[in-house]
Amino acid sequence: MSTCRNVAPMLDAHVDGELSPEQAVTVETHAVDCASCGARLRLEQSVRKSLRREVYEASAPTASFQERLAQSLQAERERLAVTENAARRGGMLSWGTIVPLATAAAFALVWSASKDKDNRRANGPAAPAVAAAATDMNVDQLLDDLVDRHIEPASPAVVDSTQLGQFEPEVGVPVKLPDLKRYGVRWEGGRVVPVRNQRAALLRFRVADHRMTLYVYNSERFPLKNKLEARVVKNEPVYVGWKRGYSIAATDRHGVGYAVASDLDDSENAEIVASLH
Amino acid sequence: MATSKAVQTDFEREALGHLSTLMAVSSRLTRSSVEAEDLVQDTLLKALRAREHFMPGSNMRAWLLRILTNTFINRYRRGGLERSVLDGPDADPLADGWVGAATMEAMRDPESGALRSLLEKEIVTALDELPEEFRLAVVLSDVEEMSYREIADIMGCPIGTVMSRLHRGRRLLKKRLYEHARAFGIIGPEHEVGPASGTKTGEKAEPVVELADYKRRKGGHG
Repeated sequence: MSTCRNVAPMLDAHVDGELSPEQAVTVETHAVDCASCGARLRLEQSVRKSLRREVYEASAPTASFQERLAQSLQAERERLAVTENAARRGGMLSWGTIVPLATAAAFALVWSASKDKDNRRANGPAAPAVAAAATDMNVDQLLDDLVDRHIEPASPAVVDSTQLGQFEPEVGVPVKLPDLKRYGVRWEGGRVVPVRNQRAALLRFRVADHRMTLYVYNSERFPLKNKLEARVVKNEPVYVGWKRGYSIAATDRHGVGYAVASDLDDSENAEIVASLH
Repeated sequence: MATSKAVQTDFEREALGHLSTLMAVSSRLTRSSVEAEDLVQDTLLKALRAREHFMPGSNMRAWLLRILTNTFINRYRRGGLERSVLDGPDADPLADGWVGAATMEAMRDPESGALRSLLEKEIVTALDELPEEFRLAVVLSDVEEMSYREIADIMGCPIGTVMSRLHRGRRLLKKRLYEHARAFGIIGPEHEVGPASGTKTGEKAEPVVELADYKRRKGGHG
C-alpha cells in the first residue's frame, strides 16, 4: 500500500520521467486517491509548463543576432579552411607563418629602420626569404621579452589610472585602462618597459590567482602576428600563441597593439584581447 | 550577407537548429540578453573549431550545452558556478504538507494546465533569483527536459548532485511563487493549512515549527 510518505520523494522524479514503469504506476495511483499529492503533482507540472513557455519567450533569438551569427560562423569557417589547407600542403608551416610571408618583407623594413644596429646589419639589403627568417627570429625574441617582463615582479610606476596618459610620449600610442571588470580582472598598476629596442606600456592585472600582463604598443613596431595563430573572436581578428608555457594573445586596433600574457588558457586570453576596443 | 546561408555546412545547420535552446539556457545563465548572445556566439565558434571532436549521430544539443556551460564558467566564474550561500531549514512549505491542496490548486490555471498568469509572469524573475548551480539544473531539467544523466554530463557532476540541486532549486522557486501568490492575493492566509494543527497562519510562509516535530506528529496517518 502506497502512502504519502513513500510517494512524496518520488513525485519530482516522476514528473522528470526518471521512474521505472512500476514506480510511475504507484505514484499515479496514489495521486488519484490523495488530494494533497495529486495537487502537488499538478502544481509541479504547471510550474514546468509555465517555465518552458516564459523562458523561451524571454530569450527568442533576434533576426539581427542570427545574421551576425551567420557572418561570424562563415568567417570562422573560411579561416579554418585556409588553416587546414596550409597544414595539408606545408607540413610544419602554419597559418601564422605562411600567410604573412608576403607582408614579412614589409615588417622587415620597419624592423631594419629601427635603431638597433645588429638588426640593421642582419637584415641589410637581404632577399625577402632571409628577411622573413630574420623577422621571425626577432619576433621570437620579442615574445620572449614579453614573457620575461610578465614574469618579473617590477614595481609599478603608476597606480592611478588617470596618470596612464603620461606613458604616451614614451610608447608612441595612447594608453588607457581598459574595462575588464566583466572578466573579474583587477588592475594593479603600470609602467613603461623596454621590449627589445622598443618601448611598451605594461599594465599588470590580477585574475583570481593568476597574474595577467597587458602590453600596449605601436603595432607597427611589434609584428607579433607573424609568430602567432590567427583566430576570429567576437568578430575581431586575434593572434594567439604560447611561449615557455605562457599564453600570449595579441590584437591590433588602428595601429595600437595590445598583447596579453598570462598562464591562463589561450582562449581566455584571446577573449580578453578581443574585448579591447 | 545573402550568401552566408547557402554555404552553411551540415554541421552548422545542425548546430544552428539548437539556437533557441542555446539562447534559452544562455539567457538564464547570464541574465542579460547582450551577454547571452556573446556566450552563444562563442559557444558556436568553439563548436565549429572543435567539430572533429563531435561524433555524428550523438547528442549535439548536450554537447553544445556542455561547451556553453564551460565557456560561461571559464569566462565569468573561475571557481565554478556560484552556489547557495544560505542553507536554510530543509523544509518546503508546499512539498511537506504545510500548504494544503486547495492552495496549490489555486496557484494553477485549470484550463491551460499552467500557472495562473499573474504567477507565470513572475516565474522568470523567480528563476533568476536562484543561485547559478540550481538555476542551471532547473533550466536543463524543467525547460529543456533533459535526463539527470545528461544534466550530470553537462554540469560535470554526479547524478546525485544533480538531483539535490534540482530539489533545492525547485524548493526555492516554489517558495518564491508561493510568496508572490500571497502578495497578489491569489491565495490568502486561510488557505494555509497545517494538517496536524490549524494554528500556523502567520505572515510568513516558512514553517515556525521544526520539521522533525511535524513529521513525528504526522506519523500516524501518513
